[in-house]
Amino acid sequence: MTPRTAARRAARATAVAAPLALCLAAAPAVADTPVGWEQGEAPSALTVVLLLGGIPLALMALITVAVMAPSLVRGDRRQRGVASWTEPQWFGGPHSHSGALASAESVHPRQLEVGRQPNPLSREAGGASARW
Amino acid sequence: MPAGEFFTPTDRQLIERAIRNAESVSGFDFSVFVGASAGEPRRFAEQLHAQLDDPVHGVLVLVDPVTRVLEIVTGSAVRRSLDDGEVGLAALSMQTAFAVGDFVSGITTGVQQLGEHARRPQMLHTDTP
Repeated sequence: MTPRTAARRAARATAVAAPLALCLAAAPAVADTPVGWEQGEAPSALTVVLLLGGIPLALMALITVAVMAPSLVRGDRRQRGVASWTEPQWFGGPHSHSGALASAESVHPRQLEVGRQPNPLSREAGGASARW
Repeated sequence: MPAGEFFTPTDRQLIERAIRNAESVSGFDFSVFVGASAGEPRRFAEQLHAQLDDPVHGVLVLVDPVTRVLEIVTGSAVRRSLDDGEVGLAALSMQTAFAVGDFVSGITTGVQQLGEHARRPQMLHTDTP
């Protein structure tokens, strides 16, 4: 081993060991209550759990309810509405004037000439169906 | 609950606006019927479609919330711009919304989609000989 190699190795070892030694040698900080101050009571474990765990959980529950409440309410209204549904609603159906929509006229389909044969041109009608 | 309260005034405005937009974009007439269908749903929808002021240029959307049926009928002139495949896609998106009970969103989205697919092509230089 040449002197130069030895010097390099020594320098490397020092660079690694010195910070390590300083860290190990550092005394842990002891934060004690200053002289003249009142010694406070240590909080109980239950208090700590309630503060650090309970408050975040309560906030999460509150936010969840706030987000889901409108859809839950709307869902109920829809179920009630569907269950008691009887009268149809038209939007832009027949009897509407050109260029203006019939504003939710309640035209019962049985008032229409349902028995009449469809327009021959509408036999070429297309479209699609779906179920849910 | 009275049927009139199934759609709030705001809901009705949204649906009517969607219909207006679809009509102005496509040039065809759109009608939406929400209610119980009598008999076989497809035939009932076609009968309603035939009752429109101009069935050939009309699109009828029938939504039956009780039996959970959706029927879309397109007139013969509409079919030149809006084929059954595109109608099926619109029906699929409406079906998804209806499945979670959101009828207003389903109807407005579906009608707008139908109008966009049936959009009339822009005519240029129609005033030049």
